[in-house]
Amino acid sequence: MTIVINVNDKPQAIEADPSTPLLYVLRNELALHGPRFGCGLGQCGACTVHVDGRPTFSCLLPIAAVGERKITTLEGLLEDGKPNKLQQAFIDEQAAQCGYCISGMVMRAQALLRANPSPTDGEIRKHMRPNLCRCGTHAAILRAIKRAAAGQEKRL
Amino acid sequence: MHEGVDRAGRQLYPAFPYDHFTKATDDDIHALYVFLMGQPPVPNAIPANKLEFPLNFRPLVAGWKILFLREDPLPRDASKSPEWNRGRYLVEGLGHCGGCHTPRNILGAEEKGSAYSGGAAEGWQAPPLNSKSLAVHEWTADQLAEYLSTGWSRWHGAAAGPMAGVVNDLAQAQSKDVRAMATYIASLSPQSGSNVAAPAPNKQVPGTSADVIAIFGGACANCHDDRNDVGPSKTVSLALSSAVRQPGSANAVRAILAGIQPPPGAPGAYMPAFADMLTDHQIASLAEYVRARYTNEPQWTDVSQQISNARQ
Repeated sequence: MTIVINVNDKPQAIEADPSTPLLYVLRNELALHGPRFGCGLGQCGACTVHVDGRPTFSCLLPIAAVGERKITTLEGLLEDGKPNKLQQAFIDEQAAQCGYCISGMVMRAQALLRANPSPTDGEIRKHMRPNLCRCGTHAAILRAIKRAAAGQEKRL
Repeated sequence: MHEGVDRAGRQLYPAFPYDHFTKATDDDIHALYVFLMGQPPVPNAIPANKLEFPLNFRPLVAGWKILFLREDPLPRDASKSPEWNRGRYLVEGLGHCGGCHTPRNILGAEEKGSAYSGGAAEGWQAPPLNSKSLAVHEWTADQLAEYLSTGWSRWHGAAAGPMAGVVNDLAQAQSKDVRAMATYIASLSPQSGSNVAAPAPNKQVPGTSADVIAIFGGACANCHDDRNDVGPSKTVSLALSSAVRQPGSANAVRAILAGIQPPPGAPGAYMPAFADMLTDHQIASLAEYVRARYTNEPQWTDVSQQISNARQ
């Protein structure tokens, strides 16, 4: 059965069972390897993507449920093929060890910075709670988010 | 606490449940006073009363009290165990469980003749605890004690909504007191559950759209998989779930929208929040599908209204 979904601003025709979670379609059908499978239960956040700009667990969203909503993955945040401000901040802070959680972390943080360009430390921590990291990279991740937030402030 | 008046003698509105607290002993109230007065003081400007006339006329509460406040202490029931009596003291008094679990009349007082027949709190339904209980398995004292102190029961599901706050606090109470409350509450619903016919597993629901079945399969079934007694994230079968069995859809809808969180800093049952993942229409269809598939009760008629209430 063919379902059309909008991913990173492009309509994509997907041939898959309608109950297939979006995560598998993004990775397998569309070769977008940003989001990752961590738990399949909405508990780790490694699969986080944006659905109409809102951070969402793609492991629990069947493609039958997507409809007209726009999906954005890590790849969709690039600006002219280059890392955006937040992605660059992660690179500058070297905020990754194994890297598995990072796509989800970036997607979750991007949604925060769009809604709240200068979050406090407490607000960042609270917002990032749904995303887990097993390597203990949290301090660097928080620094990267603050760096991107500070950068946005300076731009204003 | 006993009479429902403040220091200056003004009437207090029974939103502060002194109709229950009046059963507390002087010793317990004294202990509460000592504890509260040991907390650091904070400055707090009390907001002005915004009730509509005539409710904002405090002396009217005196009339309410004549009708509904019973200040006499609970008499001991010598035919029951000390544990039952202790439980009744806690449940009827400081625990004020009836505040949510008993229906209220038009003047906002609990209907004593329908004690524990079910009520409401903050948009959620507080299920009946008496013979009107809709549980598939009768709540035993053991199950209640586990549920009240951990927020989860293998036979009924997880605490959510305002009850989650209650069980998080009861987790810190002495287990013998929680046990006593459980003993008393279990005694309110003897022989419930024995006549309930559970639906067949994998019951087909004719007329369900393929989309809804696909959404259930992709969003729900990983945890709510009927092949498991207890699924991932501590799911229990939806056929046993309190929320699914209530006459209204409020609890099921709110659980789908907001999910269920484990107690702070502790492991426990978890359900993701689907509020941003699924549309109102999808959630409504899912709720009705679950109701039809997992119960033999009449279909809910309030789903769209409950979703719109919960989204506010």
